[in-house]
Amino acid sequence: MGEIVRVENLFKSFGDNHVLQGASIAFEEGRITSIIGQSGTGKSVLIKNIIGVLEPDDGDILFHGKSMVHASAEERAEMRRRFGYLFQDSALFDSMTVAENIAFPLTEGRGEKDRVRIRDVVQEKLDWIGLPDVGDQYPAELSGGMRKRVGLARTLAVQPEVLLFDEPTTGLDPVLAETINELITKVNQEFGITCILITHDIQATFRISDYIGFLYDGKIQAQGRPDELSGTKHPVLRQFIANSFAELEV
Amino acid sequence: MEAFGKQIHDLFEGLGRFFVFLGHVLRNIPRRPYRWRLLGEQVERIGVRSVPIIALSSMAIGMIFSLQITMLMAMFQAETIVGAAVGLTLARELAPVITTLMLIAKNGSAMTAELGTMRVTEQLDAMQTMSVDPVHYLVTPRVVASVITFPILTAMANVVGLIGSYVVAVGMLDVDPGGFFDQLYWFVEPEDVYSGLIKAAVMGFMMAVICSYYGFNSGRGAKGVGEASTRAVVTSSVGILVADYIMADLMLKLLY
Ligand SMILES: Nc1ncnc2c1ncn2[C@@H]1O[C@H](COP(=O)(O)OP(=O)(O)O)[C@@H](O)[C@H]1O
Ligand SMILES: [Mg+2]
Repeated sequence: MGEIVRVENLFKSFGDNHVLQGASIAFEEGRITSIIGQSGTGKSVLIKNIIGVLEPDDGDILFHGKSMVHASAEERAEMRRRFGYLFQDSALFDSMTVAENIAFPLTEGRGEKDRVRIRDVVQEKLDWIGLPDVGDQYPAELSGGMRKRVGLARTLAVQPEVLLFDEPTTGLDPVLAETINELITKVNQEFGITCILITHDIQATFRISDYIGFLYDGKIQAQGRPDELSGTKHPVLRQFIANSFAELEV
Repeated sequence: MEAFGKQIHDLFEGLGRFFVFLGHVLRNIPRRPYRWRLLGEQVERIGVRSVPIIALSSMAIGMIFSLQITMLMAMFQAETIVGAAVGLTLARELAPVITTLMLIAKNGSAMTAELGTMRVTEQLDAMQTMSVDPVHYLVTPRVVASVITFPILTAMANVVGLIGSYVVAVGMLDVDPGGFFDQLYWFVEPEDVYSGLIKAAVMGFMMAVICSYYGFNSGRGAKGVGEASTRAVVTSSVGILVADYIMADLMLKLLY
């Protein structure tokens, strides 16, 4: 399996805030790759550039070897359809029911009209996330962990090739965090979907990822398989890993 | 001096962004798919549910105006002119302006708050990642619904305002009912009514675009959304009054 997405020398600033300064990393098809780094280093900015919510100032993003940044608007829209993105706070549409949320990418994004098919897909995804009965509820009536799962169901409704997760377990209690991590592994193994994860939950990352990149100071400063990175010589990353394991013992 | 320069720079940058947004909205109005259900929802929210408040405020304005003008004209024994005076000012100015200001307070601020919350909670970004243009999905139904409902509500405000005026003048101040209507028909031309309705449509368009713009560019958190709503209400109210003057000037030249 080759690489599916490549980020090349990406730059992104907001005014004087130079967030990304030449970040580069490749993502292997069918694998789980994580970007780790402290809060506020630009992990979300990096993946928002990949899905096109933000435009990079410089650099390129390749999908199956083709530039997304320099593609025409239609080509880009076509490529973006093959991505799914789970937002940090799920970003469910709070004026719609759970079922309408899950149907949204199908009905509004793809123009699907077949009501029976839509209902089947929605129910299938609800069953898959283990919440078969919440279809008629509104997002506000759900817990944070349930909203995360519904958000995942919504991204799965259109069968993406690449799924991006922004801090999927932040703010959840350890048990729920574990369920979400299991779901990510399941998405990856059952559907073969390439998963790109950003997180500062180091322990879980080392357990579920196939490959890890460390974002610091606008660049990917170190990258490799978990076993490679755990013996890293990069001083900041070593500190970062040490701190997060220390926190556990408190 | 530097701060002043930055303010000017920010002003033009903001204006530039607004016109880019406006262009985006205009391009999206004719674009398919047409989402009739969303348009219907907005027509209900902006139009149907505003009937009581517009009726109430235009009735009050008609009554107050009637009272003042009848008192004034009584000094010249010309009370019957009240029908024409109220009819004319309602049709040309008061009905569209009152309708618009009430709807800015009722719907414009809510539009900004709703879209701003969606911005802050990343619902707009989420829509975009699902290949649905949030301007097309959210803004165009609001703009089209406003352009449709504002003139209708304005027409209603004209009628209700006149009823209020009639009740006070004829019912309470003993103005001659025949004279009231004679003067009304004599002075108020169809152009007066049309010009008011056209204005209302333009103002509806402005309100929806300005309030959506502020929602889409809302700052972070609850505070950001609150500030965006305040600014949207102030900007659209002032903008609409300025536009009203310009339109009044143009229409007086073109229609009469
Ligand atoms: N849309 C935006 N506009 C301006 N600044 C932003 C925007 N998004 C992120 N930033 C800034 O970029 C920096 C990195 O943010 P982010 O990518 O969210 O960090 P994290 O690594 O915690 O996900 C922060 O300083 C943040 O304030
Ligand atoms: Mg983040």
